[in-house]
Amino acid sequence: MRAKLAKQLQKVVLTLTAVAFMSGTAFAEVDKLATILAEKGVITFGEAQRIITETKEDVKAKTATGKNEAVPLWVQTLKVRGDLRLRTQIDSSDANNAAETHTERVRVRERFRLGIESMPLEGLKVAFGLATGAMAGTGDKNPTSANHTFEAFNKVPIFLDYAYLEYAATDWMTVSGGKVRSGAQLWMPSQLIWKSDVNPDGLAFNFKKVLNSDVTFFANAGWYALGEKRETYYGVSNNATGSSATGMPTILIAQPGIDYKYEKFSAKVGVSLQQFYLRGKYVASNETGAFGSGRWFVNTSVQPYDYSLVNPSFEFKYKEVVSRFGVSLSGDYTTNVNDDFNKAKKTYNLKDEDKNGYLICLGFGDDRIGKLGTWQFKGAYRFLGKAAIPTGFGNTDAYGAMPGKGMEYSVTTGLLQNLSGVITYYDMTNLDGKAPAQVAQFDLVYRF
Amino acid sequence: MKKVFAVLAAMLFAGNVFASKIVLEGSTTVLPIAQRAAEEFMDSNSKADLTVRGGGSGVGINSLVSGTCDIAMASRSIRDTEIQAAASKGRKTKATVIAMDGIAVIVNRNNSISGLSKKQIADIYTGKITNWSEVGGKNESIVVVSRDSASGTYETFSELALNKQKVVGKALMQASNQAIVTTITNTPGAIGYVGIGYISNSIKAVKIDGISASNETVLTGKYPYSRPLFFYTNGDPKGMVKDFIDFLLSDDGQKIVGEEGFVPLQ
Repeated sequence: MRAKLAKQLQKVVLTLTAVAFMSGTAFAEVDKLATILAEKGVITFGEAQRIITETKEDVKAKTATGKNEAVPLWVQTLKVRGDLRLRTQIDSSDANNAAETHTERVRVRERFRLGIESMPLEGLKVAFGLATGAMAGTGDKNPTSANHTFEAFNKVPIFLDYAYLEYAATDWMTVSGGKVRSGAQLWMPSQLIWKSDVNPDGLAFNFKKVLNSDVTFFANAGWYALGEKRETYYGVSNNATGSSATGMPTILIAQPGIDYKYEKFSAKVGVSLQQFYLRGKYVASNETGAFGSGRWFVNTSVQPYDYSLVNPSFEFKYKEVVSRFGVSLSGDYTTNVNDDFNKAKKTYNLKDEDKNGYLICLGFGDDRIGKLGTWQFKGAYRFLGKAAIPTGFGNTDAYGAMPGKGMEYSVTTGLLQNLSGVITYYDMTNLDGKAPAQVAQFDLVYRF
Repeated sequence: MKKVFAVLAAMLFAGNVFASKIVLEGSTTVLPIAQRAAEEFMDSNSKADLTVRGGGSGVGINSLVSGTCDIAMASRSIRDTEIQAAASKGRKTKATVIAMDGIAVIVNRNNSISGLSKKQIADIYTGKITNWSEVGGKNESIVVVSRDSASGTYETFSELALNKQKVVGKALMQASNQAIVTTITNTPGAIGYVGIGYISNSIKAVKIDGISASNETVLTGKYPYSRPLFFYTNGDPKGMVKDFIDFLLSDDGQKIVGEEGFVPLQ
């Protein structure tokens, strides 16, 4: 009876509070009302305390979010994010040719990205991002880079970097459709297979469920389109003398995994299966992007081979091993188990190791980069066989994402809040240990 | 390969595997209440599957914001930035007060002091006052007794009484409320602090700024060393989450609150 009365009273008090809040009347009036009722024995002091505190919390929540029925939800949930990166890049490479060609390049580059997201309905997110990128004479729509290289004071083209709808079907599952953001397709501790600039086109399902106090299950699954289904008829279609057809080139990905945290230790492991349906299908080439000319062995418009990647990934971290500094060990391994590898092996005289790739990275330093004085060091070794992955989506800074092997190093340091400096160095060769190439990058990155 | 994908897809879409599991995360102060309440709730409800873990109020609220827990336990009010972070993900934080936390300052029962001001207590615990004669007592050194820094009671006392200043280095650090009561009982010049449920005849609870430590003064908000303990949920509690909160607010649940040394709402 008393609980029922308290509930009814709470409604009355909430209404009064809303009125008081709207009209600017002090909240103390509500406080006083509940206290008087408690003193008169209508409710207990505990119930009064609940009413007062919870009402304060409700008002605070409404104030903090600026909630106003007149303002639509999509405005209330509007969020802007982005970054600006200034980079000086030095490239040095030796071609594996008779002329012993050596090339040196120094480029000053800029990358600007701006993302906006909003929730027009509860559980439904709309997001899009704009980014700089290169527009070469033939129309470069490079998926792996948003860099603009300083040249002749050119204006800089802005591309649609991503645009998608995301629906939170339950607390533990989201479905995203469109040009989704990198990372939606799978969790990846390195850029061995996918560079972080690549935002794939398709449908992504992301799952995350806490199993117990230390263990979280996660899974990513998705379907992505690399091109169109194409049919060409010779002659009038209903009286055709012939036709050619190619199906839609697509990628299917599934990745279950476990995230484990215990005190200062954390471990995350996952295994992805990535099926590239490419054989006999048409993928448009572009200047330097996916499946374009110059890439090893998928070098025609109609692709000759399918790929089936089995890709275990891991990341182990231990915080505060030495003072505030922690260590990390992370990496990716991939092997192409598709039968088409055996056909390619004969055609191109490949070795068994050419179906494999791996990257192992050791890190040391602060857990997060923040103010001046925080820093992280990472050193990694990578190996990428000639038929390990469909080249074109990997890290183009590392030997142009081409098959090769060698080291990568990076040092990141905080300068100001949201401003950091990064030095990255790649030292790689081809798989025979020839044609060495080094890349040094000096970055200043501001995030907002 | 296609079969493997089909099996994985079936696993991923098998939503019923995850049915009716509730995760509580957050404040270590609230943790003992939640753990005992969860045990008793599961004993009487076979369908309930509750996981309770600590980490601190901030960790719990972050998990609620990111959707990895159902109830964030907090010994402080949610911050504006946390409310905004939740709103940006389409979540509305809803507070439920589940208990009050009050801390009594206690002295040896033979000590002539019966009341202190908030400033005097802060000065004693930060080492500025070292003799009872400085606060109207006899000429006797003050033995400062405190909970160890890992305890929620220490954290609460530091925040409410010391404005987050550190306890003086020579303080005797004790691992439990009961250990503090025992030390104060056996040490004539000692001063300590305990959860309000630990007040007994073997020690004397001093008035703070003239207010006695009692359930009533905590519930009326008059006692200065008190604060509400919260469960935060995403919107109004529903289903099993609501059932569990209702249980904790019931007579049986509030009995647990009292037994754990906190102030019940009833």
